[in-house]
Amino acid sequence: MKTFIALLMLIPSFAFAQVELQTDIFKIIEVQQKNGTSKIEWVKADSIVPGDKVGYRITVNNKGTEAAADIVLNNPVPENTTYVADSARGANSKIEFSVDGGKQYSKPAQLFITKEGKKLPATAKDYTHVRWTLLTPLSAGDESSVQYAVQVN
Amino acid sequence: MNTLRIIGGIFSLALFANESIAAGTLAGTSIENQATVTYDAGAGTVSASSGKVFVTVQELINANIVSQDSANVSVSSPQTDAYLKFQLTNTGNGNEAFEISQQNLTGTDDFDATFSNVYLDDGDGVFEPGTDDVIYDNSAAPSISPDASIVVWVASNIPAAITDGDTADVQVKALSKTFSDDAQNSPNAGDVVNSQGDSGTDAVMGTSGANADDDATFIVSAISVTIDKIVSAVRDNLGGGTGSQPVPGAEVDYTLTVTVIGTGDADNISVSDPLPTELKLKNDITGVITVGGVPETASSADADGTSYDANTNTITVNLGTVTAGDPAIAIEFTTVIQ
Repeated sequence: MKTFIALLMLIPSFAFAQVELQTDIFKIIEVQQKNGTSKIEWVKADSIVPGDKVGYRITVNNKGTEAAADIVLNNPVPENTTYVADSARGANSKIEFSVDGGKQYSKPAQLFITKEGKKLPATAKDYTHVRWTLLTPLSAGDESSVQYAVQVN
Repeated sequence: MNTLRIIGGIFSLALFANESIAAGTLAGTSIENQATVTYDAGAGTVSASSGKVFVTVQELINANIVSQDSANVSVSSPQTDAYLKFQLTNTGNGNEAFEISQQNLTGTDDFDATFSNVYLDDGDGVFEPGTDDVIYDNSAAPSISPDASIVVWVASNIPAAITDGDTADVQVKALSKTFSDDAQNSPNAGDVVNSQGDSGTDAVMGTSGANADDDATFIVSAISVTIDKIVSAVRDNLGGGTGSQPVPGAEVDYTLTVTVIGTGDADNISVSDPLPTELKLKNDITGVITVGGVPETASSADADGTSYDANTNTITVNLGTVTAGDPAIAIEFTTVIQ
């Protein structure tokens, strides 16, 4: 009986890769520098109004004991916002977008929309979802993050 | 914020039905985001979600005020209540009222108008005394829905003894009532009034800042219309036909000359010439009255604006609008001595 209990407790720990996800939100501002240039900063998301840029950072944390492979992160572009062109980042990841509500994903150059019967290259404002496919497994205890930005309509 | 008062009710329905308004996402809208992940830890694909994050869109305060007078506004000296027309548009994303102020600009103009009142147009964009007599009260300024506009009439008095052609430049400005109520009378973009936006959001000043303004110009237009009347020829048609005795049956040619001097336009000029009983227009209503070199029939049935009324024995010529400085207009006709 004792052995059995011990065994039960061991089973989860064999393949335990509990990946947790956290999204943080920021306001993206341009701070003028003394030398005349400007610097982009991600700050606390206060006083967001139309036209402001909002940055999302998605942190994936492997709290388990096993490496997690084939990690795919997905984030819809929120309602009332527009994806900011070229804003998606993520180390060691393949970044793709969807223009059909998340059914299909492709690189920007391979995305098309149909407008008045014509097939047109999609632009950032057409993106409905952003997807990051991590190219390497995430080891136990490791974390990684990706980010993108939207503009409030 | 400022509760909807006059026009708000009309627009508030459309406001919630229309998501893609130019002013942007409405104040108070919550933008929600949630990421998902799938992975394989050796026992098949597992999925997880992040917690939802929210950000509430705050109220952006923006306004655009534009003069609706396409040219300088002609006024007399003196004149009570000369009107300038302005359209004020709420380009923010919430309901907002604006205080309207006027100031005389200095530098390139010649005189100052004296501010009288601002009147709120009843919605048709045409000033009608008696209808558009609602004085725009800054302390109870009407709330304007996002993307909606109002028209206001800014009235000023023109002093006496101003020289013809002199101008007065006037600047009209709209200031957010939310900021004014917070004693922020010269707000800059990014300034905030906490919790005073729609739905308890913060009111955030947009790019219009304290500079939602536009200019218009009054021009004193002393316009006068003069008419000269001369007898240009008399033909008695007796003897060899070259006589010029004004005897019964003789024809008398008259020339009226209409001249407009000063500045601006004289509208609806109508020339009336009641003939003495001793004279009648030659050929009565089938006669000819030449206006500016163009022969017109004397019939009142046509629309040439030129007519002869046999009953009152009066010639009437409608010249419409004539701009000061235009060449004099000659009106020529032939009468017969009775």
